[in-house]
Amino acid sequence: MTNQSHILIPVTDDDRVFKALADPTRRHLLDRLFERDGRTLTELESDLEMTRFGVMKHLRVLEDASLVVTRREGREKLHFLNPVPIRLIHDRWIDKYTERQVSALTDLKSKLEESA
Amino acid sequence: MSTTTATNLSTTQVFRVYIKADQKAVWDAITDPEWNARYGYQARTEYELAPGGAYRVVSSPEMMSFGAPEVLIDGEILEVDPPKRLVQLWHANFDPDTIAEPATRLTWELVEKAPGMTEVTVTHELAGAPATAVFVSGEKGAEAGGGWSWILSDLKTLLETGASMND
Repeated sequence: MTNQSHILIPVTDDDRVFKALADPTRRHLLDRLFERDGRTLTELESDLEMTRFGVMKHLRVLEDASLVVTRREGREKLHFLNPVPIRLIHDRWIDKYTERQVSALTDLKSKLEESA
Repeated sequence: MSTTTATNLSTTQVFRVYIKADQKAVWDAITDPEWNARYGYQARTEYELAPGGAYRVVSSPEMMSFGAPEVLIDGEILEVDPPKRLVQLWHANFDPDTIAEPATRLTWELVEKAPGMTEVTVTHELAGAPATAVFVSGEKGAEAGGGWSWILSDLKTLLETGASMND
């Protein structure tokens, strides 16, 4: 970095994933795909009280975060749940903090053993 | 985790990751045993990069000590277009249930979305192979690693940081 005073915070992939997950309709869509993958828009909108356009907009946010990947099969566009971004967040964030918890417990154990 | 997981899985699974590396570097990390033994399950993977060529994932000495077969996964190359596309057959020999299943079809697609930024898509067609589907989805949990999600996450980590999560 040449200009330290001017710090740009880019929209990272993680930001898009967290934003995409911060909505109950989008989480519902992911749950539907988790139950069974490779669904059409028509199938996905069937149990939502929402216009087709509304569902498309939510799917677009999920696609931008790469949580949903589409694939053409014949005349149909199928939606697949992509678990990799959630795995990346797990590896980047969850592991980090759970590891710290484990090491805190290990520290406590050795402190207790020392004083025993 | 529910016991009916396998029946819920689609016959096709799609995995996608974006890696800050050019197409050629990602291609090499997938197909060159010097690279592919460094991330994920860290098993050396040999590709004969021509249609009809062999594909073999070889167990590490540690895996063999746990009773894994010498050739963990085998298959056949169907289509090669370096550094963009690779289609192959994929058959897992590490479990009695997967051994009994037919070979599955695996497609790697690499697209350079921007200079030095590659989109990697793995499409695994798993018709007639529900046991294999459970393993590659990562739903088996810790005892079997995390399937493709974990492999791709570690591939990204290795190419972007120079070190695997295993290191």
